[in-house]
Amino acid sequence: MSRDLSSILRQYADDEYAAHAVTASDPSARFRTLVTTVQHRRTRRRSAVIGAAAAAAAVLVGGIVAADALTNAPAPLPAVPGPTMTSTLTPAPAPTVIPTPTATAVALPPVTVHAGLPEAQPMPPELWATTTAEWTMFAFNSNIRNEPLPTGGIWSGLPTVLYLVDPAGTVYEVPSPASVWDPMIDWLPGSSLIVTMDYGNERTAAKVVDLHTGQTLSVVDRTGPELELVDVSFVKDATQDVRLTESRSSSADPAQEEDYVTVMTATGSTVSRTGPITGSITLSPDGRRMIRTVGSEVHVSDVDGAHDLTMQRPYADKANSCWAPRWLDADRAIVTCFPHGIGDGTSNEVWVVPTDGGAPARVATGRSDDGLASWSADGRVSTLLSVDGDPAGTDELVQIGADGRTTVLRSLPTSTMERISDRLWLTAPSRTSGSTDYLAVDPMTGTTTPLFAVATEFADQYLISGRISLGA
Amino acid sequence: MTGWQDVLEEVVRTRRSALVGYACLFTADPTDAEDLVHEALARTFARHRNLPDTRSAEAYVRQAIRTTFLDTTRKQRSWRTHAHLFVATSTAPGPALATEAMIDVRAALAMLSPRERACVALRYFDDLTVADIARDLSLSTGAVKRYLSDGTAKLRTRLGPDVVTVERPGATHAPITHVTGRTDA
Repeated sequence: MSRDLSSILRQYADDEYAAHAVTASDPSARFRTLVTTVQHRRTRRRSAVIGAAAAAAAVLVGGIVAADALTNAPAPLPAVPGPTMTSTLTPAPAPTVIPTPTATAVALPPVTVHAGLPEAQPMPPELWATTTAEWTMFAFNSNIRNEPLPTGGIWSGLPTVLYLVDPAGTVYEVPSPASVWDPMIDWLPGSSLIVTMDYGNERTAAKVVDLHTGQTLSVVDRTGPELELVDVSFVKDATQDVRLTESRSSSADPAQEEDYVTVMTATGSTVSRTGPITGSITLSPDGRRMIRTVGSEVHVSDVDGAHDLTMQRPYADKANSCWAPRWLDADRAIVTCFPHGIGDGTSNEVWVVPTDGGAPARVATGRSDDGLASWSADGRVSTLLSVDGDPAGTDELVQIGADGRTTVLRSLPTSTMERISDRLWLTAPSRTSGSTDYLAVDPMTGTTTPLFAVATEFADQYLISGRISLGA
Repeated sequence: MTGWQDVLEEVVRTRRSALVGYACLFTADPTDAEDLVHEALARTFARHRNLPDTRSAEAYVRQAIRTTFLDTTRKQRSWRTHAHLFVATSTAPGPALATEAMIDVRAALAMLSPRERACVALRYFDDLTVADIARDLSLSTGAVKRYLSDGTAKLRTRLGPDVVTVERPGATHAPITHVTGRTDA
């Protein structure tokens, strides 16, 4: 008597289901972990997911083309929608000047002492004015409250605590009267301004907060299932302006998105607003230009659509062969291609494409762009490439010169990597038993600097947010 | 149900084990399947904002399981990056919970390459056509047929020569509750 493979597989899946249902961990704990993960990714969606989303669309389009080609060769390429963006620039209002905090005679506030928090020094208010792009600000948010800890005891919860770290590694606790519970998305060096993002049910809200005064200077609130703020950051052009990217999707088809880019002052006055922009976009490091992937075409233009040109791309004659590119530095984009199919990735290629319409150049094989931020200085740019087909998971910190030559600065086990926005950190077991060290990685040299240690039992209980500018 | 967190909670509470069962077809390992489901849930809810109910969300998650698995064979580290956020679990069923047949099928699936497993799961579990599988996996139909042939041949070496494949014409989209209509809770 024969046995049907479909029935065998269904019985197997059913058996695994039943076995898992008996041994499954607490769903509420899993849910909370997922919420944290999803919120993180929604924050970073622009930098980390565009490629995948665009590529998913490319797979679909390419697949349809391929299927057509089998029966109706040669099949025409699908129609590519042209740019439909409109610019609604408004006159720029007078810049808002937020006074720089100055020294006061008040006593320094005490630092928060807790086994789960880094050791820190009190921060004098005059320090704000001396901070530069080389400083780091980060926030510790306890993302699990009043829950049993894996190692015993009860998590009692903590308020968000913010820290500043100077280039020498000195950690200061930021004495903020503001109750900043939401993840901090960006900080403007040289000032006490931060921007946070609040995620609720069908609601996203960005707040600009002055940590020195505790005042919330502006709130941008988007409510409804079709509207979402997807990124927010300071423009960092010697003003205190804030750039927001928001997305509007169709309830009938979530894949159909239109994006808007808005620049506003810290107090909420609109400086400019551009959109709707069709396609998947990624903004340049200075936020003034964008790469826009629509179907199989890749455009580069100003964010208002001006100066649009079609970028060359590798394997342009082969549908579904590359992910959508992202900015590498001010003049170049990076893109991962898989001319032989996605497969196991061992034949993937990394290409650098000039954004002035120049010819692409292959810089690595057997590697994929990690999709994270890149760091540039003096014509050099460092980025992370993942080693394909490596089951252990390894990234290489690679420097790409102006001539396209690559140098591997160091290999990084991905299990130890932490990313706080565009900052790269490593974790490592501390020499002190029961602690985890956090080390900052200099992306231009690959060297590491110890920053602080956290009791290991608390290390996973934190949502750490923040941003360092690294001269951007 | 009003917000994505409500839908996510409902999916995690009532459908996670079913999704892990489905993911096991691709990973042949329950622990990896748990991670795969976690990543698929994160991807789905990070990307889609209009998930009105559990059923539609599950359909997206199952699709994400397929694409995430394939993406992960390309880029092995995608969900490992976030391992530090995971809740410690012990999901692999002990010997007492694993039936002999289950162990046999798991071992048989483990003999297949990732592409072969994906093709076999999509063809003989999800009932996708060869053309649909080719589209989903970004392969030629010839390659899909080869993977199906090699995959089923390998399965027969472990499960026995009496295993047959019954071709089911027509189905192009996988029903979302193949595993069972039961709920976890």
